[in-house]
Amino acid sequence: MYRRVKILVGCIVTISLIVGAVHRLGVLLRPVNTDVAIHAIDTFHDMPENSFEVIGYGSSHMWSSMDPMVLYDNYGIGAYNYGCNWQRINTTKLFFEDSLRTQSPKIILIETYLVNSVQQDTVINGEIYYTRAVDEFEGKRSYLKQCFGTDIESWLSYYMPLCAFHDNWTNLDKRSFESNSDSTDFNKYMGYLFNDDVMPVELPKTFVQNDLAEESIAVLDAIVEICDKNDIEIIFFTTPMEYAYPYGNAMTKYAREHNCVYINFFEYIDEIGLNPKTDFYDAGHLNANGAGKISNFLGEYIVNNYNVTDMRNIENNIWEAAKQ
Amino acid sequence: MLFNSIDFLIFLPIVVLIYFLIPDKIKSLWLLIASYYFYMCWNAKYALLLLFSTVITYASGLLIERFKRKYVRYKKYILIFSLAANLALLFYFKYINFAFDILRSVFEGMHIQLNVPKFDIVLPVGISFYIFQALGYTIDVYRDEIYAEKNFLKYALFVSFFPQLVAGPIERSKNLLCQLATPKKFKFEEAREGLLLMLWGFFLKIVLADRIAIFVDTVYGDYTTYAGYYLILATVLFAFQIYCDFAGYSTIAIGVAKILGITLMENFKSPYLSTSVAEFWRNWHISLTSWFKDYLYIPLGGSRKGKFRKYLNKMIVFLLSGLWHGASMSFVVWGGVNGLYQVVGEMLQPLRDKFVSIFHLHRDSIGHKLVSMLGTFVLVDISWIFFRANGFLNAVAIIKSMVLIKNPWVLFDGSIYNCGLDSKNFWLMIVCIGILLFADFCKLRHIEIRNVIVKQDYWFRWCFIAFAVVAILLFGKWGPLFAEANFIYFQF
Repeated sequence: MYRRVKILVGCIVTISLIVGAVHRLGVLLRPVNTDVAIHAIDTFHDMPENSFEVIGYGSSHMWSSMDPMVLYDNYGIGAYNYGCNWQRINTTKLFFEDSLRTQSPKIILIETYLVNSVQQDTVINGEIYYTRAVDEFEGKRSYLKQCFGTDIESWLSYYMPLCAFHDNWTNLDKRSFESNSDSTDFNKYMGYLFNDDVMPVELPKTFVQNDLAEESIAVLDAIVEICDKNDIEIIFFTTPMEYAYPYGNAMTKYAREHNCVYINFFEYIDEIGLNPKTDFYDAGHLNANGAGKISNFLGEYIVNNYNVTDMRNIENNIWEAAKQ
Repeated sequence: MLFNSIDFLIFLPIVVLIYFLIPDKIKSLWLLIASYYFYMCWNAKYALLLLFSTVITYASGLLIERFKRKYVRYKKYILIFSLAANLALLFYFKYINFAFDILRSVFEGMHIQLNVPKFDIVLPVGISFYIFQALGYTIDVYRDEIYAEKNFLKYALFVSFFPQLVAGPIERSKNLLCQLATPKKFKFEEAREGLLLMLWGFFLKIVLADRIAIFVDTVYGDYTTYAGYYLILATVLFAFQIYCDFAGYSTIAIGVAKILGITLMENFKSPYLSTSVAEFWRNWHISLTSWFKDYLYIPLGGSRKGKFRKYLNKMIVFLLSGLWHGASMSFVVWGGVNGLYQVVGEMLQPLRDKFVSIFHLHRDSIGHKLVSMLGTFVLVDISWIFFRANGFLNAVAIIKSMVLIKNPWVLFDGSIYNCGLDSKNFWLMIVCIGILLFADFCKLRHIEIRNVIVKQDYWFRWCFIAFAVVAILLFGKWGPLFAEANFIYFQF
């Protein structure tokens, strides 16, 4: 009997040591470049429930182009930027569904740079990894199913990151040993990724146009369906960048057919006064200056076309708190 | 299903758990089902070949036993039939295109255009292993060394036992059949030993072999760019890659069987610490070498019929051993080179004895042993070039490059870190090779490291096992970013 107990204790201790080490190493060896995205997701989850009437989603192009503080200061709109790097269209849908669990937006803004890119890789990349910060719910389960299918190794890697990232032991640095190495203050800008660097860019003159893939349209349809059910208006938009955007026509057509709004800012460059010499921080992203111009246009459009609350009339609101 | 896949890590606990929970009567049946499932994961229809070989050798065994008293002549015919049927199967699936290529070349040499068909055949995994195992059984029955197995299910399990089905060790009926006939009870000590063996096997495969493979594949894949000393280093490393790959598989197989209470034969005994090529072959792929010795070399006359026949027999065995490894001239050359080493080594033995005597050298001295080990390693490693290169002509080009191009600085100026492994991974590989050689040295001194671990205090054992598992998970080449690498010997 004593021997059996000893064996049992030995097995439990050994397995516990392995599980503990695997967990700890999974954290150490994570892709640290996703810390910023995880920090952004966590910040959104910490926001009070039902605070936002307007929420933005999309890749880094959204993240760096819609400044909720401009929308608030100039138009009184209560907005949040729930963009994130790489966010492909089905990841956008995940973020949208995730936000509906705590918020009830009237209008959603979706930047369409990655509208024709659906995350399906079974290789665990940074984009899939940062969705670990999103709690488990039905929408997330179907997202992961779409990404991984029946690939056991990918499922295992998602919940046991050491599986996918163990080769990162050669890249360990100071940031790896911090629980989250990112120090961006997302509270201050309501999710917006502030950057005031300047890099002159050349904007494209010609735009070869392509159709959207069926799988992308399916994801867009699902987003539209959820919006219809919840009485949410959608505004799709595309921010300018150095590369030609090939889905402008396809998005115009899609928006018209589905009774949504699509704003292709490549067509409004002069109207909003976007200056390629001063309004970008790299070839693909607007800086604070450029984001201000896009945000002002969006704010104007929203207050002129939709019925939104002027949050400036509400005392001690979270935008005022953010300014503190 | 590869041993280094998640599928196997799910499959194994299920098989083991059910095996020890079900009644003794159906344990063999369960292992048989598991073994066929394991095999069918690669190609379900090829299980029919396994079944075909099993049925032929099972029936042959029974008939040979039936005729052994009264109709002795018939038992020879049955043996020949069994050998022919199985070897024909092997020939068709493995060698037919090779044979036709040779035929075509011979006729082309005579300026005759020969139109022979090219068969689109996928080589069934492990066919060379299970056919040799089944044939060994038939010959053992013929020689009256064992009784024929009456129970078909038990015999079918002997041929298809999943741990060693696809890459050995090629077990002997005398050892395995009787073990499989007795249902086993769970024994903690055996399970622990099995798990420790598996851990060592995984270390060899996913930490060492698959890491070395990245370097070797880069260099051999572009040997004109990576010439000279790159190739010398890659060739030295390939010797360790193939050892770790194959010994890794064998060790995991032995470990898995051990968990199930079955003891399989050892397949490697510190081969690179051998002091002669002959000794190397006694310690390398022991189950195949001893198979050839028992079932081919000795029946050919072994060393009993004079020196010339002895040398001839050795050459036959090694050429066939090369051919067993693959349907390619480079494998035959590889076998031939190893045969020649032994023949020349024996022919020069008196000369070497004289040399030792004249210079008063001590064969037992450490220096002498080290030089012998190094010399043996160099000879064996040269032969590996034919094994690794993509064809005979490539092997010759690689040897030329190694001899003619002098660029030793690439070993020191950081150039070698551009061959797929960065400096950290490269030095980790070197440290792990050091661990391997240390373990082999201990084995040579009859010290089994796992026995040393088991004798330590309980807390040390627990921590050591946990550390080993985590180290393998951390430093191994596995996961979704790294497709599981096949074991090299699967192709044979």
